[in-house]
Amino acid sequence: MDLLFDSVRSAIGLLLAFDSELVDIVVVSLRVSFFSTLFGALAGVPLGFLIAYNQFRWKRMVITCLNTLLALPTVVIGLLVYSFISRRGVFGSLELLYTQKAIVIGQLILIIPVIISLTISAISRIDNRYRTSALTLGANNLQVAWVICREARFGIIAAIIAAFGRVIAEVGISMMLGGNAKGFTRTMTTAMALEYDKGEFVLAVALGIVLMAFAFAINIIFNLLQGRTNADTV
Amino acid sequence: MKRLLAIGVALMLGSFTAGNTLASDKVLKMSTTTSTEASGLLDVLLPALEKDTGIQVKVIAKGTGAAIRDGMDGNVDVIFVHARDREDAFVAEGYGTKRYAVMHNDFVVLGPANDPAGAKKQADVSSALKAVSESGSLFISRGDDSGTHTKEQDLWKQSGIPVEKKTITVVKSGKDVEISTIRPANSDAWYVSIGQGMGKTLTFAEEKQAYTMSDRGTYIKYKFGKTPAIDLEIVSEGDEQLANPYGVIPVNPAKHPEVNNKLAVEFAEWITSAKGQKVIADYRLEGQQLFFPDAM
Amino acid sequence: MPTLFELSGLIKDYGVRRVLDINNLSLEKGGIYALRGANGAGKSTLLSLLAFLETPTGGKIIFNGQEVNYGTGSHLYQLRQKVVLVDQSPLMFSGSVYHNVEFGLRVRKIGRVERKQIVEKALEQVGMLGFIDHDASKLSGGETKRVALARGLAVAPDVLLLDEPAANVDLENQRILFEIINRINKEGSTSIIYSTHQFPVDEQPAHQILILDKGKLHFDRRCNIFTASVKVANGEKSVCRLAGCAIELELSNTVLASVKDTFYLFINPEKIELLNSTTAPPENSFGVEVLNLTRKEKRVEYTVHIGKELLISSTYRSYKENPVYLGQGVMIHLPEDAISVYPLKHGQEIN
Repeated sequence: MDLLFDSVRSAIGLLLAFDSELVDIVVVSLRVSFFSTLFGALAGVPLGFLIAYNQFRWKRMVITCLNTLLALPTVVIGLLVYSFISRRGVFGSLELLYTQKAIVIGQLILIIPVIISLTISAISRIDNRYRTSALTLGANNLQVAWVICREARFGIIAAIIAAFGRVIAEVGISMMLGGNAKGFTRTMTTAMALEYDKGEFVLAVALGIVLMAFAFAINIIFNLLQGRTNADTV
Repeated sequence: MKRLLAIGVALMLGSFTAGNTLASDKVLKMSTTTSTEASGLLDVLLPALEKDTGIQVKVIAKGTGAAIRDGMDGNVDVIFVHARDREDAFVAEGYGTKRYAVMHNDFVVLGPANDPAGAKKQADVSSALKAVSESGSLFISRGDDSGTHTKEQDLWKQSGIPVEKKTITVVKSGKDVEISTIRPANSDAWYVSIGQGMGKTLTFAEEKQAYTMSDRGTYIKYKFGKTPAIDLEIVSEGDEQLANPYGVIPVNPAKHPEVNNKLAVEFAEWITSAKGQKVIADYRLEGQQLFFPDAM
Repeated sequence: MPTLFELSGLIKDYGVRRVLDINNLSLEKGGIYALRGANGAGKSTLLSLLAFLETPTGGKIIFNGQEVNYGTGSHLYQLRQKVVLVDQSPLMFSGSVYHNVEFGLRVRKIGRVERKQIVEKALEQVGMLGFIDHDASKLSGGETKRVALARGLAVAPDVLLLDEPAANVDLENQRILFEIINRINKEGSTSIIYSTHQFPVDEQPAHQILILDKGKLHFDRRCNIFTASVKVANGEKSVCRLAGCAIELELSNTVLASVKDTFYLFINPEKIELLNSTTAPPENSFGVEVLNLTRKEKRVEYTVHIGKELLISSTYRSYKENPVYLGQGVMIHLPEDAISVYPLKHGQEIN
């Protein structure tokens, strides 16, 4: 109990002091998570739409594979990407390892299946009559796609928020590919892992509290959107 | 079928509890550093100990900070670490009963083969580090509050390079406590603190072709025991300042009555005995002697 | 009148179920067609096919003299620019009523100013102009139907397909709906095909009535539908009088179970039997005079008089076996499986 009390007080103290180290860590975390989520959404939402909207032979198989990828551990992704981008790897000359870009690459592999999968379920929930209504009113395929995505927007945003929550709370990829370099690739989660290793539980928990605050904010947004989606379908 | 299953479960439970009771007889909980465990010494030392004394050791390997913390919290019976000042403080504050000097090895400063900072030419470690800082070549610091990190901070302080102290205030047991780290001043562009273990730090430095500091054992493992060998060379070694003494401290039963002090003392006395010291002296890593006994 | 749609051998299957099977049907430009049949008769499927929203399992559709090619999306896209289907229970796109009605205009890249005029006019036609800025998802069922109609009207299609436009709409609004249909048909020469499962109201604007039953089109003219009422009910059978006709039918109560005293009665012209006058007539047989006789490919259609005209359709083969001539008196038998009954809504009767 003392530990928790100390940690909360420390966290508040550090936050109020606008501690530059803490600010750096939070900024790196948000920056990396933002770009991962952005690129993940740009790739995942259109792919999810195409899979949900089109009928093709291996559709079931593709969805099963996607669901399997959802269970991919972050360390496996970390190892895989590491083997490609380390100095001895195929893309070694790009000098990507231990940069924020490397974390983003790894996190993309983590969340693109999440976004695709959730987009598929969001699109599949949309009544087919939206498609036929748009078609009969003279829409072309692109315009029909736009209509369907517009109707599925809450589900799609929920997918993107879920992806953001996943990357900001993720530690394996950030540690393996980012290397926890202070000021460069040290994120909230890797910093927590470090503080734990150092035996500085107070700081680790303080960072955890900051992370929880973000998670809480994200979930509030998520719930608000979900509430609206439900209200819309009634 | 049901009966078979029941028998199976009973057997499993039985062997589980039996194993537990057997094991709890002479089991010592020891926290040590990841580098000690990674050196491979414990793999020969502990079987020899068990053969002699029947003591089984449950090793919990962490960074030095966390290993000492485990001792302070009474999570373990004994600590086996290498951070002299902090070990003395541990005893002085009453967390440990007595420090047993066990052995030492040494640290080395590593860098890329082409040595852009020209550190190899320098006479001692202080001037080597100075050369690194002046060249602006990347230096990777463990930054994890480990023994190696503690040593590295000392070396920067003694090198005469201006250093800066970063202090943050946290609350411990309701009181404000300052935690500080030391690094070269104005070094944001070339000094990278990654807060990871020695192995990770070596691969990080290799990846970036940067300078770093390592204990010799881990370096030998990565240089001679691994294919492909790590692409880093020793640029400074042998300086007295680079010595790395190891100590064993039983946790004080006055602070934590639940710890097994008797077993801890037995362990400490065995490791500093002629038998224990010989095992340490004979230990070879990739054909090289790694540790030098201090208790003989 | 030039032909708008020409359907031949058109088949639509859903899995193993055949929902539509139309041998031959041609619809003229500028016409108003009512498509009648019970729920599940295939009306919505036929309308979807005519709207180029579904691909037939077999057969072909010729639209404006051009065979529809289902292989190319761009071709279908071109055709859909001319045809609009308004759903039975339409969905509104998220957004305002205005956003919904302007949708078809936006995809046609019509300018903002013109768009606004057209949207306002379309909404005015359906009496929904006051709702222009309302959230479309908050409208009632009836209001949604009217906005959906405006959404279709706004793009001024050559063909307007309406699926059950009168369902769940009160009589007053039905009258308004039919007025709109009449007006756009006359003013804009828009061809209109609408479906309804309710049996005929004389004010309905259709020029022609098509009857679908279990996916099959029986005949394409207004006939064989009568208002009937139970005259005497006894035991297992009841005697029913057909309004305006000289005949009475004896029907088993199981047939009549779904209707009240007064109801619609449809006699399937393909199932009416012509009897050899030498045999003793079973019940529900009547002597009638042949008024009209037409050969239609493998079938022959007769019109006889029973107080009103009754259409009979038989195969050419049976005609050859038992030929009849104009003006000849024949005996017809109406078996129970030729007769379907439908409930009558209050206030709707034909005479």
